[in-house]
Amino acid sequence: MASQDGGRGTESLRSVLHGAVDREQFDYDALVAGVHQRAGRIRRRRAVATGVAVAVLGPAAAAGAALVLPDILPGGDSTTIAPATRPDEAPTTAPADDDAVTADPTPPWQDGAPPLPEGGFEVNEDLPNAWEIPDPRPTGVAALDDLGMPQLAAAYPRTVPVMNLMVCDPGRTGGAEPEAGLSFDYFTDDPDDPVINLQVTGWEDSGAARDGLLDDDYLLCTWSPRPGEPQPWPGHEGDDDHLVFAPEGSDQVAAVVRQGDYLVAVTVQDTGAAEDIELAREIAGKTADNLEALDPVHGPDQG
Amino acid sequence: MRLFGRSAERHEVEAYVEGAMPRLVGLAYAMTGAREDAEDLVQDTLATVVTKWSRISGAENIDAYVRRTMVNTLISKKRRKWTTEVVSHELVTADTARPEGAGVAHRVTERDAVLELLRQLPDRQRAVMALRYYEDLPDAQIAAALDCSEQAVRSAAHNAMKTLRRLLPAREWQEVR
Repeated sequence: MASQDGGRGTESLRSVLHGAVDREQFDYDALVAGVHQRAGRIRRRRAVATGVAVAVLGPAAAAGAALVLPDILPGGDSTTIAPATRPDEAPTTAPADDDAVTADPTPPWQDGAPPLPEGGFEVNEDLPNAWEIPDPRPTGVAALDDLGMPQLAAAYPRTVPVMNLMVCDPGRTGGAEPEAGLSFDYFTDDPDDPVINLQVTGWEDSGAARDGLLDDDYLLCTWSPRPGEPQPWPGHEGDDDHLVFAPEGSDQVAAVVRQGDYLVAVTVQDTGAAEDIELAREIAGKTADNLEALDPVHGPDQG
Repeated sequence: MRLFGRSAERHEVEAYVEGAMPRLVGLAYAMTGAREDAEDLVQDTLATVVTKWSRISGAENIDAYVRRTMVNTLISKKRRKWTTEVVSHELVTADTARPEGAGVAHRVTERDAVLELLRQLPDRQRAVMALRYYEDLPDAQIAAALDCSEQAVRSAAHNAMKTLRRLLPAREWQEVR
């Protein structure tokens, strides 16, 4: 495409790329076989995820357990998490792969432990997280710092993937649920302050969970209202792992990042839509970056 | 070769994977600059394609969909290896005093130097360079693959070339053939 740039450099670059590819001797049959192996693995993981969801929901429904959504409106009642029956078998978690070995343990957006409410995380002893999620909240984000410590911090698998924009009770029968979750709610009594919700949910198949958000056909929780097409995320155009939702008629926006086995969702409720989206993107992106560093098993993307 | 999917689709998807593999692994190599990463990228990309074939097969331009899937896979994986490898300016410019005409080995070394620099580019810039200079795609199709504007493609290509030219001395740049 010398005409687009001109000069010998572009022709040289074309020569370098083609020469380098020609120099390699790829085993095409092995690669084709590898494609089918990986495709089979994706299908098996999806099947396992569906089976796990049924295994969790079945005993819970039989015991009359209800999924209670947190009420995080300023001045509202405190959050309650309904008791639920623990499944007979904890779901298996994806094994670490080579990426885990190379994970940098230093979170890029966290300088010290973020503040927690007195008493720390709320947990439900009957339904613990399948694995311990490190606290990935970013520090140094002015909007979060201004709100101080979160009003709620919960470590519980039955976490709404995108707070305030999804409903789970009733949800989609047989839909997939997280295996682990952290939830943080930030708000004050001042109605001029924003409300920020941060959810970190861990999944058997985070890719399927992400697709489930896009297609609204996979998860236990369903959108309410329907969010419409994802909004642009500058620098991540066409990247389904970085999503922004701004439902028409809602005063809330959400940014969702898939990172490793996780979905990170940040919902912001305020009055200035553009700033809300930017804030949601910043917190979600930084939280995901921190997760990748802090959780060497579930944080890195699988190869 | 083992077949996947429902019988009505499996011959079709298998034929596509086998037929497209040589070209796509080359594109993956151009996007990654490393054999193992290229093999990983092309297999992940085509595995996604296989599992979504019922939706993809009806697309007007399957290759365009696959290219877009590959770009998304490249970017979403954030392959840490590329970003943590440090190739210094000194490393790629250290032997500029070599006598000219050092032969094939010299040219291979220069090629490797350019590939090393390509690996240092941000994912999207590297994808643009691969699609433009390996696939020879027009900017409109590159923009479709990256889901961005043609202006954004031109900007990414310009910035990538600027970086490469800044880091690689002109003599070596022109000798890379």
